[in-house]
This record gives sequence, C-alpha cells and structure tokens, in this order.
Amino acid sequence: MHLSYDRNSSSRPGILDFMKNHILILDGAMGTLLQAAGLQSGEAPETWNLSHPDVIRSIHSEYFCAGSHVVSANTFGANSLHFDDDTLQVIIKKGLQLAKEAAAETPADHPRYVALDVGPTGKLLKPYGDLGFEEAVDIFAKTIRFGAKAGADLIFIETMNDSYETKAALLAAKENCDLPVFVSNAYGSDGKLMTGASPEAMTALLEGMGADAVGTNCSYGPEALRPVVARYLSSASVPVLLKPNAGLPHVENGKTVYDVSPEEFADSVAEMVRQGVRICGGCCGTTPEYIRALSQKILPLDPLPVEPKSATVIASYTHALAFGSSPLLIGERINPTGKKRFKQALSEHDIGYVLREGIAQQDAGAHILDVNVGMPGIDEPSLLAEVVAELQAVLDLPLQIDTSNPQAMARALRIVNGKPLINSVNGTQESMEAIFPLAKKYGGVLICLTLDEKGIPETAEGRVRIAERILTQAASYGIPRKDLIFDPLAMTVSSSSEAALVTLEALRRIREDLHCHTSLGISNVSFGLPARDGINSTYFALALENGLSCAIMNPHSYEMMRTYHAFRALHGLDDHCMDYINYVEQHTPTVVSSAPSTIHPELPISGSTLLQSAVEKGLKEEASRLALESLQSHSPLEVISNEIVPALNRVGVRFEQKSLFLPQLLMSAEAAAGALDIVKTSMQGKRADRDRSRFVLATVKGDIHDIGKNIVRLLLESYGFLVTDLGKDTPPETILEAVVRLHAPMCGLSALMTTTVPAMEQTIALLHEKAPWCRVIVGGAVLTQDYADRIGADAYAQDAMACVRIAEEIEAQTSGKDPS
Amino acid sequence: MIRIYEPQDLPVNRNEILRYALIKPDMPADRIDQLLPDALQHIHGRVCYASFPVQLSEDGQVDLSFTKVSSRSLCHLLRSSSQCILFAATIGIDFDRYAARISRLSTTNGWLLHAIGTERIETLCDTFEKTLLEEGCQLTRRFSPGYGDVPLSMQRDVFRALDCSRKIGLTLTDSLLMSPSKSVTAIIGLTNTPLRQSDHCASCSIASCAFRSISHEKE
Repeated sequence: MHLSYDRNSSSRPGILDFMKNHILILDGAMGTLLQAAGLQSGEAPETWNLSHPDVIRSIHSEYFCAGSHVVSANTFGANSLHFDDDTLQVIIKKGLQLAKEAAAETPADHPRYVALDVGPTGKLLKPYGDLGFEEAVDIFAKTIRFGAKAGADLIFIETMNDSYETKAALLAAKENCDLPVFVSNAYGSDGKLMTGASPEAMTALLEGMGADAVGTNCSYGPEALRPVVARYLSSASVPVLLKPNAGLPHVENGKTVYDVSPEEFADSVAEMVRQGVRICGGCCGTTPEYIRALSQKILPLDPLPVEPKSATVIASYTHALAFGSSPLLIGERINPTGKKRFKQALSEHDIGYVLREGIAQQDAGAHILDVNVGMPGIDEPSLLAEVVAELQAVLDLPLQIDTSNPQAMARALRIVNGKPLINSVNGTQESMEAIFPLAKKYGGVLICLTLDEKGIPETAEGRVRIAERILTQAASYGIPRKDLIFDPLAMTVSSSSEAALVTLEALRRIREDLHCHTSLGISNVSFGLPARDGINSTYFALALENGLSCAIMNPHSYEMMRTYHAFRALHGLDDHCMDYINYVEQHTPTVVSSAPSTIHPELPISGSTLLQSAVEKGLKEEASRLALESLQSHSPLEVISNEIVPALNRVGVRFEQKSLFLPQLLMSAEAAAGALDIVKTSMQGKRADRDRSRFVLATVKGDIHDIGKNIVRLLLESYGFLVTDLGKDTPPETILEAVVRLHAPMCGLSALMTTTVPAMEQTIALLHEKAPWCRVIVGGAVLTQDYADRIGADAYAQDAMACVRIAEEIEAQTSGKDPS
Repeated sequence: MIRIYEPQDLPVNRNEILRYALIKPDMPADRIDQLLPDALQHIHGRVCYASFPVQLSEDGQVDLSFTKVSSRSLCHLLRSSSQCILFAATIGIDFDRYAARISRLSTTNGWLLHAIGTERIETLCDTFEKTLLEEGCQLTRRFSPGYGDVPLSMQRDVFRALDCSRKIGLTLTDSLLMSPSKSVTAIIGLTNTPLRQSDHCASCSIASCAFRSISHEKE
C-alpha cells in the first residue's frame, strides 16, 4: 500500500515511521557524477559544496526526481582529519543546506529526507594503525554534531571496512545526537570486511549498540553482494540496507564505464527487496538513471516485514557465535584468583603472560575467553582495558568481560571490538542500575546471577523468581530477553549435599519455563574435595543434560574437555563422532609420572654437556627438561653459570664470527630462556637474577613494527636481563616513566624508518634530562653509528647480539664488575 | 580509473623465504615447512592500480599528474615511458595479527613468519607484474617512494591517488609507515623499448646487505 504525501515537508512522517510501511529508496553515487562534472583526481569532493553549490544541489534534485526518499549530503570525507574545524562546519552546513534545498524544490510525490553522510577516516585504528579508538570517536563526534546542528534527518555511516572504526562512528552518533542511524559496511570478495568481520558479527555489534538499520554498500555489483545480503537478512532484527556499485569499472573508448546496466541493476536489487531488503540505493557508478529504474521496479512491491530474530549472539571482530544446542566453552584461566604466577604477572605488568594464557586456551578449544584482572592494589579500570585491547590484537575469540567494578566494566565495554558477554549483573537493584545502562549503550549479552539483596535463594524456585525479576527490569531498559543468560550458581557440594541438585533444577526451569540460555562456573561445585576434575566433569555432564548453554571452565582439563566432546557425540552434534575421536587421540589424561623421560637425547656436541648441547642446538623442550634434571644435582646458580650461560655464549660468539646465523641464534636463545625459566621457578621467589640489570625496551612513538625489538628482548632475556618491554608506538613519557619507576640503568630504543627517528631523538633527550643515570642504546634498520651519535644515543647496537654485549658492558661499569 | 587485482593463488617461492629468513642452504628448514601451510591461510593478496601520464623535464622534474617530484633516479627509470602504472599491494591485516600471535609464543617463529610475509608480498607484486606483461606491456622495474632520491613523503600522494584504504584496506600512518605491514607501493614505467628485467637483489647498491650474502638457487 502506498500513500501519497503532501510536498510540504513539515507534514511528512518521521523517517522511521515512513519505513514501517514502505521500502526506502536512497540515492546513487555522488563521486561518480562529480568526476563527470570535472572533479580532479585527489581533489576533495566536499569542497564542491562551497565552490560548485549548483552542481551539488542539482545532483540531489535529480535523485529526488528519480525516486529517492533519502539523499546523502556531500559530506562523505568531511572530518577533522581533512579539514580544520571552521572549514569543516561550513562544509557540512552547506552540504546539508544544498540537500535540503533540493528536497524543498523538487516536485516529487513522496516524502524526502536528508542524511548526513559519514565515511571512513581512511586510517587504521591502533594497534595495527596509529589512530586511537577514542581519537576516532572524537573525529566522528565532531562531524556528527555539525551535521545534527545543520538539520540532518538521519546519520548514514557507510563504506566502513573495519568493525572497530564502525563501532567508533556509531558510538559517536549515539553520544552526540538523537537521530536515526543507518550503518553500512563494505565487504570484500570473501564476504568479510578488510579487517575480517562477517555480516553476522557486524549485525551483532551494531544492533547491540542500537543501529536503526544495517547492511552493505559499495564493494561490487548487486549480484556479488547477494550472499552477504542473505546473511544480513537471516541475522538482523532491524531493516537491512543494500547500496551496491554498478558492477566493476572498465575503460571503453577512453571513458570509464561500469559493467551492470541500470535495468540489470534494478532487477537484481528488486529481487533482493523481494527477499526482505527494506532500504536500497546505489553506490559507485550508479546515476539517477539507475535510481529511476530501481524505483520503478520497487514501487509495485510490498515490503516484507522485518522479523525479529530470537537467537542469542555474541561476536568478536571476526565472527559471531550463537548460543544453541551445542554448548559453548568459556575459558576461565585469565583470572588471578588463586593463581600466584598470574598475580605476579599482573603486578609486574607482564601482559605477554596474560596473552599466552589466552592463546593457550584458544588452542585448547575455548570458544570464549573470560577476562578478569581484579586483585588488590591495581588500577582495575585501566588494566582491564589494556588487557582487552591486547587480547583482541592477537586473538579472534569473543570475550567475556568479568569484573565487579562498574567503572572497569564501562571502560572495557567501550573499547571491546565486538559484542561481548558481560559478567555479570545480579538481582540487586544496585547491580541492575549500574550494569543495565552499560549493556544498553554498548551492547552485549549479560550473565545474570540469580541472587539478590537477600543472597542466594536455597531453592530453585527462589532463583527462578529472581531471574523473572531481572527479565522484567531489563525489559524496562529496552534489553531483550535474548540478551540475558542466567547463571543459577553452582554451589559447593561438600558443604551442602542438596546444593548441586538445586542448581540443576534451576537450570532446567530457566531453560524450559523462561526460554533463556544458562551459564555456570562449574568448578565451584568441587571446592574442598579431592580429585576435583572427577566431580567437575560429572557435574558438567549433568548440567548439560539439564539444558546448560555454556560453562566457565578450564579448557586444559582433560576430563572436562572429554565430557564436552562425549556430550556432543551422544547428542547427535558430532558427525560420526569425529570431534570426539580426534580429541581423545590427540590428548591423554594428565598423569604424574616418575618414570624418566623417554625422549631420546641427541648426541651431545663434543666438549659440551647435554644441557649445553641442547641450548647450542636450539632444542627448547630438551633444554628445559635437562635443566630440571640438572637441578637434581646442582644448585640453580651453578646450572645458570656453568651450563646455560657458557652454551649461549658459544652460540653468540659464532654468530658474531658469522659462522652461524640469526635463526640459529634465536632458537638457542629460546632454549636458554626456557631453561632459565625452569631454574628460576625452582628458586621459588629467591632471586637468582638479583645481579642482572633491569632493561627497559621499546619501539619509539610513530613506529608500529616490533620484530627487531622482539629479537632483542629474547636475547637479553636469555642472558638473564630483567627486560620490561613497553611494546611499539611508545610515547617518550611512557618510556621515561618506566625508566624512573624501575631506576633502570639502561634503555633500548628501536626505530625502523627515518620518519620515526625524530621521535627517538626526542626520547633520548627526555631520558638524558630526567633520568641521567640511564644509558640509551639504539638500533633499527635505518640507524648507523654516525646517525646514533647525531641523535645523542649513548650506544648503537647493530644487531641483537651487539645489544647484549653493550648491556653487559654497561652493567659492569655501573656495578663495578666484569661482564660475564 | 582505479582497478583491483585479487589473485586466487600465488605460487610459493620457498628459496626466497629461506633467503629472507637468513637460512643458509646447508641449514635445516623444517620449521619453515611446519609454519607455511597455516601461515598461507592468513594471506589475502590485493592490489589496486591506475595508469598515469609521465612528463619529464631536462632538469630532473617528474610530473606524473598525481604527484610532482624532482628526482634524477625516477627520471632515469622513466626515461622511455610516456605512461606509468602506480600500484599498491598488500597481503592483508590478518597476517599481521597472526604473526603477532605466533611471536608471542616464539620469537623464532615470529622471525620466520616475517620472512614468509616478505616473500608473499614480493610474489604478489611479481605476479601482478606478470598480468601487465600478459596485456602486452613492456615494464621497467618497480620503484617505490623512498628509493633513490625520491622522498618517502610521496606516499601521501600515492595513497590519495589510489584510495588505498577503501580499495584494498591499506593505510598510511602519520609517520608514513604502511599498515598492514607487508605491503608495497610502487611506480612501474610502461615502455615500448624492451628492457631486460634486472635481478632486484644483484642490482642493489647496498653490498653489505645480510640478505644478499646468502644466495639460494633460483627455482
């Protein structure tokens, strides 16, 4: 049914109301038409708002006449990276004014709206690029404030090819205006964004944050986007948008032409509208002719209703994960509770340790990682944010943000790249009032603990009542049922014999009566009992049978993982039991054995002990095992100074003599570092390394490469130096802070390119001024001794081994000892 | 007009990987062979390119319409070209993430992946050049901003001209580094005079280069 609307725009419906019963037609390309009108390669199209207003206005008019309900103002690249604030405001204001003038003067028989067009910044976000997430939010915020002030009817975020930048733009829109926001991403031929996200992952992220429509534009012609559109239609609960190119460009008789004609284009897009697309238009290569053809095809069509989807979905920056019949495993190991080594890593700011724990859990089969860094004496909000940022730099699993500190929760939810699990909210007013607004704003699926002001009810009935109250209150915040997962709390069976059964009953009732998903922290059940894995894995099986959707557990536990695989096999979730078979074939129960290792040691190098030989040959596992053996008969210091160091030194000398090369040096250093770790662990906190110096290491600001720095770190660590690695793109102030805090006698700086050497020079000057005791060693591809002298470095290391030698010299000078 | 080249398969030149990794012919290379199959899953090669007119003046001024530069070395390269191809190539950000992850567990493997990534991007460029040759073009060798007397700051013009971020997901930092890290931008002259493709490595003037001192036989 199609109503006619008064041309007087004051009586037109709001765009979201209009969309309820209509297919919304957007415009076609702006850039393509501007190029045809003489825009030069490299010229900013937005400047034409000021220099060629008539051209811009008439393009908008042509689109309205062709049937567009919405035109996008010529503001795609209007942001503060490209224009100063005053110019930016003028360009945006003028851009919207021209579009609105076109809307007013066009004799079209339908309501007309004007969008603020928001394109990508062209920068990649940290840590792989140099634009900070909050900087990106600020850039978009400025554009959106100017656009809203200039009277835009909606915000159209488009052509985004990175999930994180898309999140920054949507966040800026939500924080700076009340206008409807449409978000459209550009996909590659593999059906992913350039940075890896799938359509389902983008839907989860964007719907969670309150986008009013999601979809895809640009990329390729309509047919190539068909699979992407289908995936949006099956995952989105909001209207789906499609704005493809007119195919791919080629040159004919010296002119650029696109290979999809207006008729073909309109047929393809109309076909997808019949399948459920509710908003359509054209991108590169499309003209008013395409939109006219499209609107003729669309007008006779009745819009398909937008079906809300009921699946509970979370997402990382690559993929979405839906809760369903196959249970999901949440790795619990990133948590300091009861873990001495983990606590030490957090207090020493050893992020690398935390990351290795995360990677190991993914390799062990976890689908989601719980992230908890809460312990006394740390700044939890900033540490949690840092760990989340570092984890998502190297791991593509969805995260479960686990903190009882609402401030830490808010910061982590803001910067997480995806739609996370939020662990947790409970039935107390205080908790719900703190957490629900965060979930509503940033998106996420909430883990809801069934406890309230009176504590944990002893009965299943009591826990279900709390779940119902949480559901009601969440709904009042606009948080749907599907975004709530209930944890009816596994209690310790050794202190209450009915406790385990009550929880199972609560699980079943939440699943069957409330139709919600459930989660449990399994291992609580076995506190105080021997052979806990036996209780845990059996309880896990019982809970799964009672409808458990996901478990917070240790993916390194053989018994838990075997139970998981067995459950899937028995429930018809594992074809031919292949996953189960693969798992048990590749894993054996952890049995403590006193039998000697059966690894046959290779023949030692003559004149070397077995351990020395393993280090020299770069056999890491062998070296660690032999170090452990050697500790039976020798003191830790003897193992270090008689075995590990001499062997590593021989390798180092051969490297310096060029009879051995970098890969061999690295393997030996890894073997030595592994052996050293074993020895240090055996000393149980007594410091073997008291005599070795602190060494602060960093790649300088502006430089995002770290392979050279990582090699230096490994070498220094294998020689026993206490290395604090500050990572890449490190501001001078951060380096100074670490040097002062640790009173480090030396600091190593790395830079790859000439463009980042000034940052190195600046850092050296700052260190010499504020930390005069610290000697600065520099290295990196572009540096030479001469260059190092000119920027004021204390020493130049041409390679990693040279850096070790210089560090030994400095250490000898500062402590008055001979270098080892 | 900016065009896209996106090959499905790129041949692997194992000897080049070994050369970049500084693995000599008599050293065992089994770790490379262990890493390679998984690493190849994280490569997505994309190239965007466009052609531009070449105008040279006597005093070493080069005008390529998207950039103007005073450069003897670029003048020399393009001395018999009236058109050039400007291209940007990358193997994608997924490889950087993958390498960062592997490096966290083993620096040695991080170094070896660095070599694999370098071979991949060079092979991508070589394969792209072959498609130009198949179109009947004669090519000069490829020449990147920062080579010879061409300033690295030309990168800004390159990125503007090719819209690299939108087309292939390649971005430039304020300090003129490219991200994803395994990426190349370059100019290739189109010429009617057949030119011998000189060996990139042997024709380089840095005689002390570590990568040069180790030679693997060409496959």
